[in-house]
Amino acid sequence: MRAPILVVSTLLATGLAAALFVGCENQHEKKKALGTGALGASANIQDLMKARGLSEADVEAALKTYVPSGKMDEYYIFASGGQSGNVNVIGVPSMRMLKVIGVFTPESWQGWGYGGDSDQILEQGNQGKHKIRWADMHHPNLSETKGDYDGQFLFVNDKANARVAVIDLADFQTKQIVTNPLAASDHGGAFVTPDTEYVIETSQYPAPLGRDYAPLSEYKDKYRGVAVFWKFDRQKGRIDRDKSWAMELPPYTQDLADVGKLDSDGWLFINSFNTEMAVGGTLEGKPPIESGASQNDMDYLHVINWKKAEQLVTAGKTKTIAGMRVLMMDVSSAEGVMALVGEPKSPHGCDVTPDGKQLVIGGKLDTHTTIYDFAKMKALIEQKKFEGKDHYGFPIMAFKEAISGQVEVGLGPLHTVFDDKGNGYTSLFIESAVAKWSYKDFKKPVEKLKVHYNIGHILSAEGDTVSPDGKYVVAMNKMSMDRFLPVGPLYPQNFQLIDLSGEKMRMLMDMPLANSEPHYSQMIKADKLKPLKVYKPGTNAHGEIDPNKPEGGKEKIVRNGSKVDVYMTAIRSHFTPDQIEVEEGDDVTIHITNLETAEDQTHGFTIDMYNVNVSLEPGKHENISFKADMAGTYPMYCTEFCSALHLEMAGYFLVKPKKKLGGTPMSENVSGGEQIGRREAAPGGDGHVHLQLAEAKPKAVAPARPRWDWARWPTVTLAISALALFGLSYRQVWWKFWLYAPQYPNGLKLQISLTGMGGDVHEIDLLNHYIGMKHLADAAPTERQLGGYGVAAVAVITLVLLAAAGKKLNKFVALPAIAFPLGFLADSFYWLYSFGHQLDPRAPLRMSPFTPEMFGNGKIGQFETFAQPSIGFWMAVAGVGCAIASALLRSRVCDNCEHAETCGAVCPRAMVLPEKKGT
Amino acid sequence: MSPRRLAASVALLSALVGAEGPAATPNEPPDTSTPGAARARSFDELSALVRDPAGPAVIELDAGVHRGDLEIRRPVTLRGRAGAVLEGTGTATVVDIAAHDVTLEDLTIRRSGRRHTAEDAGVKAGGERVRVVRVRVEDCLFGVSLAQCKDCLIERAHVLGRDDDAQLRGDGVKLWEAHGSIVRDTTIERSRDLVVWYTRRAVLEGNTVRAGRYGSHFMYAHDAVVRKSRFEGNVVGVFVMYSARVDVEHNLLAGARGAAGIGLGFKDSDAVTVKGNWMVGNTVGTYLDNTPRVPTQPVILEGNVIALNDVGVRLHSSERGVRVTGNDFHHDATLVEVEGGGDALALDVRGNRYSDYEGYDLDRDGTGDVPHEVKMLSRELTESRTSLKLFQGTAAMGLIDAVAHALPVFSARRLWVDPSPLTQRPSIAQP
Repeated sequence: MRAPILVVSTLLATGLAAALFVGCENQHEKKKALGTGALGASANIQDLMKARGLSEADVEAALKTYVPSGKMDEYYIFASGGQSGNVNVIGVPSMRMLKVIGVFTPESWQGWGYGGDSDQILEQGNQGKHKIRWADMHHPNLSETKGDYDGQFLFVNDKANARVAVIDLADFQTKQIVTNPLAASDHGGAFVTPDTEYVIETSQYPAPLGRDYAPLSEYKDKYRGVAVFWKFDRQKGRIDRDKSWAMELPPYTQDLADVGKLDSDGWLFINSFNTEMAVGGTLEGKPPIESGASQNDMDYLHVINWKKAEQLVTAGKTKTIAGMRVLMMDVSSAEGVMALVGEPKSPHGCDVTPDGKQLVIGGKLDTHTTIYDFAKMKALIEQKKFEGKDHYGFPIMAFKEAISGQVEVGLGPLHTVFDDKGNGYTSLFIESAVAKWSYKDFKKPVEKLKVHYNIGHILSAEGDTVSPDGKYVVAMNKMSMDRFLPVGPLYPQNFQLIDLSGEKMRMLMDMPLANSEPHYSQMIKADKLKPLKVYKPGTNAHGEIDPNKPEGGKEKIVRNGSKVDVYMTAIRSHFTPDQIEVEEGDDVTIHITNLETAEDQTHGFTIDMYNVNVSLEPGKHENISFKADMAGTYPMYCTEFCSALHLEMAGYFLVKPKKKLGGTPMSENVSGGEQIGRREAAPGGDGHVHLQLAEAKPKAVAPARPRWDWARWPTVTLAISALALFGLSYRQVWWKFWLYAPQYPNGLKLQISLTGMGGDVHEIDLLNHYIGMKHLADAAPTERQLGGYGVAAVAVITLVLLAAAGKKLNKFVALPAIAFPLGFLADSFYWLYSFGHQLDPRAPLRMSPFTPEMFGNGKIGQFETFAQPSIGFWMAVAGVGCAIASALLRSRVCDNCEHAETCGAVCPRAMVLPEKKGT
Repeated sequence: MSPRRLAASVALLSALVGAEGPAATPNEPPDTSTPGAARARSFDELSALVRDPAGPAVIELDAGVHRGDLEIRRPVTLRGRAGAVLEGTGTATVVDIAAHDVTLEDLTIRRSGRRHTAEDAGVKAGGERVRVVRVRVEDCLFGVSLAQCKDCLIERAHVLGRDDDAQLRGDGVKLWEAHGSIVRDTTIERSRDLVVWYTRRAVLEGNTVRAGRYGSHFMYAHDAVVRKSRFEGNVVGVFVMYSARVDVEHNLLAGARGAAGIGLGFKDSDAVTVKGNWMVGNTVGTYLDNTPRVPTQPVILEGNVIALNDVGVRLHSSERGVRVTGNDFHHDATLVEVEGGGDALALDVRGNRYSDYEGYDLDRDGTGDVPHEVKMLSRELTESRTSLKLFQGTAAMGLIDAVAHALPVFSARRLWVDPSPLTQRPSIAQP
């Protein structure tokens, strides 16, 4: 009997010991890791951990990412701001937001696009007829020297409006926006060549070059992709449009691109995902582009020798389209500038390895990354070993001969970045993971780390360059459910910092991106950037010393007719001048410089109600131009807290109203108010309002007036038709109700007219009795009695107004007619409501108060109801139409009548008398 | 000559003559089995007959190897006699069909081109009511590809892929925009995937897919049915993405090993019914990722055998709207894993049988009296230190779990609760 108990208890004891041992080990580990002695109160840390539910791994992550006050981050991340159109700057490892750079979208804190010189830079980005003030920014790219980041410039693209912006990292300000004249949308951009000779922008959705119109049936022949090579002038820090050129590409919906480096320097790689050339047509029953573009097993990777293309462009073998030199497809296919090779399954990412020898492609719907060998492809192209040609004559290399292999990484590989140990890190969208594999040894096992959730792009420290740092990878995730506090249906995106320092990848922390959907980002060592701390005094938004900068002590206001130039300075805590007075309608330009020289001494400047705000960093100069079109008193003040007496840093901007001209009364206080003379809205062509000035008094030799007199009789006729229609409708049914229930398969009918009711009134009354509703006959007693008189009254008033109303009373002519059916509707609704809400409480069936539905389907108890207006109502509506038409014609006639100026409340012609001869 | 010798010689002679007579051997069909059928003796004859717009409705292809790539642009039935082989030139698709009501029967088709970019296939078809019956496809990059082929049929076909690296093979069967098509009683071996993309009302029935990558891959394939099929030794048995109203019934999904091995996987799909399947010996038996998307379009996992997998059920995050009843969880190394630190408590789990159920059934009603909970201390350890998974299944881990049960000093999170577990194995027929 005892033996089993002994055995069991021994086992339990052993087990308990084991478990306790494991538990104690944990404790010991924690203590070791935190260094009991060094930290002193380790008990506190344990308490904190327990209180906040943190594990040892969490504490380690916190230690690796926390940057104490006064210490700096190691890296900058320049992240696209997605649809916010601006760039986010983030510090690593703290994952704190350091700055938002205004690029394509106005940003009022920085004074970006609110009246200052930055407006001119934003204007550079206008496409077509529109002022575009947002962007779908995708891929920021830092400038490179010899394939390494140099921290001088940042280039970003706008997918929706095909533009590229240049940001100067000396002051983190956008200096230029160039618009793509050929493409309608871009995605493969911006990418830089190893010495930033070119900034490359490749298109996404194909369109005819120059965005001309062509129907989709001509997709194959007219629609094209394009790669634009923007020439960058590093000295000037600007893109040189004249030296830029483009290459025409087949309409395969190009996607991402990457530029070759070292071994592959001089080559550009672009992938595509719609070589099927599907264009949709879902309304016509055709498969959507989504399905059509996924039909083929492979799409085409474009392998382009851009140095050769450049030579052909220099030799003049181009066609100029929309002002840009374009290397057309017939030339590039004949000269062997581009070759194609298959890439699996709707590919997305296109990434060149740091040694430039290989190219990694991720297929969105694949389970493998495919690695292409550059040397193999170059040899195939040189030896002209191809397996066929595409529709446009470009040679196709055999897939098997171009690749060095494939690595199984998981579901949905997208982008790949690299570290300093020969590893590639690929984002797996479908699987929500990052896969680490070796591009030097494909057999090395793949390590995966789950991310939260659905990662898009991925970035690593200096991971696009010839010498990545390793150390960190950031997963840029699209979905963030259950990661952060809920903030409504629009969730933030999630950047997750991953530590590469150990043997395995380790998740460190999450960062919500609360203002954007960042697409791509790049990470650069912090010490490579040397931004300015203050500006040279008078530097404007273009980075030049502005010729209009005022010296301290030499501020002035210069008036030249209606042009006013104010030369202003700002320094703690006052503006000079602080009183500016102009006349209404003046064109004002304020040239203002911040004279401060100390760091972080920024002043803002705004004038109330005039929608301007600029940010003046120390030394910064702005030119603010606007029209003083509102008379009044407008305070101006410093908007950026600058000093103890910041609130006192203010002044007044006064706009004296214009004097009134004698004679004709003026409307007051209307923006763009009526001018002297008549205004004719002439719709057509350009939709502008044409002003037609009439002479003040009729003279003997007067210019002809438009003859509207012929419209008198039509006016009268229309009015009389309206009344006739009303009269006819009097006896007609105005509204019909049907009630359906199983007991009444044919339904019960109720017809309402102005005179009374028809249909199954008795039956309905019987039913209504049970729910306590009053008899239908009791509805609208007064209205029905007086209905006839009402109609008569409307008729008489309308006729009187028609004949006798002067110009002043013109607008009232149609009112009685319009009021008539409206009155019916309102009255009906009132009675329906009242009947439905005054149910007798003693009724056998209790129903909650309701209003029977007047339009369409409703339900009362078990009855399905249906109501709609009937012939009488429609006749009344037609009558209203005639009445309105009549009133409009009448106003035309009145406006052009010889008595127009003197006409008061009574028409001297009774509308129908002819004009006097000789006018 | 003696009469006996004469008789013997006559017998011998007639036997010899008889052997060549018109009397058919069991394997050889008559001269032309259909009246009005034309006979093609060579590829050129065949091609001419097919190209003739007023040509015969039925063409019989003689035995032997006929070399060439055939284009069919009109309704026709092409029937092979025993031993008829259509061999492609090795540069393109062997049989390219763009017509309605085309039938290919009793043929061997081989040697397509090897261009991935052109998807060189054994048979490529677009049109309506194309039927590929008792056709053997071998040594082709893609097997049978149906694109915009409505109400088409592949029946009793055999697709044998090349012996290339799995990634470099083409798909054995590909359905794209092939609404209402059926793949039945077909065997696919050594190909890459069987894909059903953007195709509604597809029926996959009685097939065998072996040694490929995806046994079946469904994408935007609503109202699809997979039944009575065997998926053995593929990387993934069946994977369903972005599809609704999919029925997976009475299939065998086995031997999906490898790091990403899944017997049956779902992503972003709705109204899925999984009944009577055997998911055996995979890395993951069933994988659910955001399926269902909407709890009102539920997923039903009923009456399946999930056995001998490394992980029985894996969830991408805490899923909801899934009903798990009547299943037999038999000796999976781990019953359930939930990624992202979630749990399976929002699932409707009841009436399943667990081989590691440690409860009791005093009232002998076939249902355990205590719930079956998955709550393992050892799992907490292996989650934070994945290298400890090496010890999974050993006495050490078992001891830790036993202690946790007996002396719940360390609380482990509950992952899975079945309030009414079965004590007897439900009888679920082997598919």
